[in-house]
Amino acid sequence: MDIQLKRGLLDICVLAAIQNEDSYGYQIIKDIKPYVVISESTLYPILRRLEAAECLTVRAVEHNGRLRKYYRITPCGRERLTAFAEEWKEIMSIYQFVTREDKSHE
Amino acid sequence: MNKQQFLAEVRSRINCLPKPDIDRSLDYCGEMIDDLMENGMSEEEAVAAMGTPGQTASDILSDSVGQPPSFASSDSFDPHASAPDPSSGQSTEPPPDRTIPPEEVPKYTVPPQTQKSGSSFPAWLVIVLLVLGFPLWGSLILTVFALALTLFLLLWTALITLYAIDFALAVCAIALLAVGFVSPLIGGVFGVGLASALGTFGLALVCGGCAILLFLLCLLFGKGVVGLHKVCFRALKRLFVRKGA
Repeated sequence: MDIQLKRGLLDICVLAAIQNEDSYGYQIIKDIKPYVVISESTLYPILRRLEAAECLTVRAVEHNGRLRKYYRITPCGRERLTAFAEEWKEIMSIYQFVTREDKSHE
Repeated sequence: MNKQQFLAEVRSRINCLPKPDIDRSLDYCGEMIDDLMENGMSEEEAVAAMGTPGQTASDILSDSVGQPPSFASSDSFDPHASAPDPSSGQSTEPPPDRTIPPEEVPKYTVPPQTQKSGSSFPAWLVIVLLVLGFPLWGSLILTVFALALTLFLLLWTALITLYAIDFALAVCAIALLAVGFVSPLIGGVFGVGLASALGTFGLALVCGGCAILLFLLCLLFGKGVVGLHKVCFRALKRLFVRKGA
């Protein structure tokens, strides 16, 4: 897959993983691994970038005697997801057009 | 490698970052390893799942600065080949994410500024600065001009003074000559004899000689002053001619 495209998709995947409830690093990886190839340390820059872009917030929660960072989506992050979905509706219709069955030659 | 060793290795590679960034990234790595262990992996497996310290460091650095330095990712082995990840079936897949070139981080990168013209300042800016700075450079130039004028006046005054002295000496010489001729005639009134007349003549000659020498000196000095004038005018002319050209 095109690297730039993939990078953008990874950001969206991470936001989608936290859109319904707060989540933490390991859980996010687990949730999106079926869909995209992502490694544990690649997630870190994505989270930092999304935080810098104010698409998510971070808070520390105590868990089993250690601190675990939980990530929560922001309204800005939700907007990004909506924009992505809209954009891809358009792409999907183009895809339908490109892969439609050619009936004219039958 | 155990967790502490891994974290120490990563830390050594990201030491260039500010301390809060170092702490934050190491917290993340530690947390991930702990979560992996909590979900069934051994410490070794969890550490291996993170990748090599070099690759982890390079991921962290690619977020903080433009380009991850090449030394940060210097390792020889590929962790994904040796550590099976129980949460996915993709252990044989090569790690393409690690070779992703660094992303643009709007927070840290600055687009390069392009120069508009060849010289360092646009012309209109120079004019505005000159106008604004007029009180400063105006008074400076005035001071320089006044000093130069003073110098010239001094030179001319000196020259005139020398001529005046010379004239005075000449007058003295003539006067003494006259006295020398007249005194023996008057004779008795001043009590002067031939000796004093000769002395007077001598003095007259001395004065005359000095007058002549001083006159020569004055001429030389005068020539010098005039020469200085010429040089100054030529320099000023060249200055203005170059500006105009």
